Amino acid sequence: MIEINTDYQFIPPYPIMIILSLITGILMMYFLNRKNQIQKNVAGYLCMLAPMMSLFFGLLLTYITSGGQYFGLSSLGGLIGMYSAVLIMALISPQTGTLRIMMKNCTLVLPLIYSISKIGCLSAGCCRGISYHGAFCIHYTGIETEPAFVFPVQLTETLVFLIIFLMGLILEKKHQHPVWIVFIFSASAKFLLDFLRESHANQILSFTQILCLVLILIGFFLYFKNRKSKAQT
Amino acid sequence: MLIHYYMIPECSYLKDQNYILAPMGTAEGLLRQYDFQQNENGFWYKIPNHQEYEAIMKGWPNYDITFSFDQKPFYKLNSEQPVKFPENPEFQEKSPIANVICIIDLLLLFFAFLFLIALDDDVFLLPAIGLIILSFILTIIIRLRYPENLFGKILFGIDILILICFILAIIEVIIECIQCFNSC
Repeated sequence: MIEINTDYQFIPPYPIMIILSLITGILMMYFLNRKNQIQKNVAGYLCMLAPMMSLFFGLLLTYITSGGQYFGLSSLGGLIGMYSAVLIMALISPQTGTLRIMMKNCTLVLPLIYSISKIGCLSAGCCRGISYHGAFCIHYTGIETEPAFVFPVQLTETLVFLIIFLMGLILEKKHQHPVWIVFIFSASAKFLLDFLRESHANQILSFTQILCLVLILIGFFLYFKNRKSKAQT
Repeated sequence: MLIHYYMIPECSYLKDQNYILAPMGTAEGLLRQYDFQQNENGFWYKIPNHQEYEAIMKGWPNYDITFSFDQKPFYKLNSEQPVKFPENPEFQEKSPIANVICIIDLLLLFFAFLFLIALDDDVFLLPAIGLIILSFILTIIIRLRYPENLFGKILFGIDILILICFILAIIEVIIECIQCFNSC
């Protein structure tokens, strides 16, 4: 059993982990872009635009899905923001043929950003799992969160997405072009792990899962389209 | 792609016009020696001959190429990309298009601050951030297309400050509303 007290006297670890995840992911994306011959200024401006758009879309999606009730950070909103930033930079960049490279690098680093940010959720007690008393269960205590024994879904997400990120890097190093594999695996993992969340109770499919299904379908469509065009050439 | 053209290093290649473009500040005598011509903007260019053109196309766009008298063209993987015909730096600084974009950029920032300061309601938070992002995108366009524009440089400085404030504000919001983050 893991004991977590969510009453933090100083700065809670949640915002630190969110910012740390963004910094790590954006730096990683910068180095991958530079390695793939993206101009220094284009890669640099993307590093500035991506966190702004990621946080903006993260807040916007939660605001819309809650019917304007509250603000929150949605990881899927963050994903939309990251891809939008890449798309905008590719459109305004004087360099040609950057969209595919920057999209690929963005897809590779997204699991890393998500993986680190989930450590923040674990410490804050948000996005918690279903009620569970077995091995590795988490016992939350503190005034901020209701005391409960829950499934360590945030830890599971951290590990799964870290593995997906490392797998992507290894495949990239072997020149296997892993972008669609990483994309489909990430969306599938998010879809499946959502069943273990407390917020999923009394629902057949949550809004997040519906969005994940759409992403999986887009991933498969683009994967087969890409394979077909490669076979033709 | 860079072309090191005999005694003239770091020339650019304009694929659309098929011009080798000499860098600014190259000695005029040397340029005339290699049959470069000057255009109305003061830039020196040359149309490559057939062999040179074939050698350039072989390395386009990912390789720098070195032409020399004593060996075959030499290729090296580069990080530079195809260039467009550069505008005169003086023209860039006073470009009317860049200035119009800058004014729109400034107006967007003004409305964003109006939303943030004058209207004390959470509903206006997201449109304000949206306007700041739009303004930031316009600044990036100016910095990429008109890097010498002074107005653009000032706006970029302002945007850097806003970016820092934006990140600090987000951290503060997260700390204050941590219990609101039920699902991410």
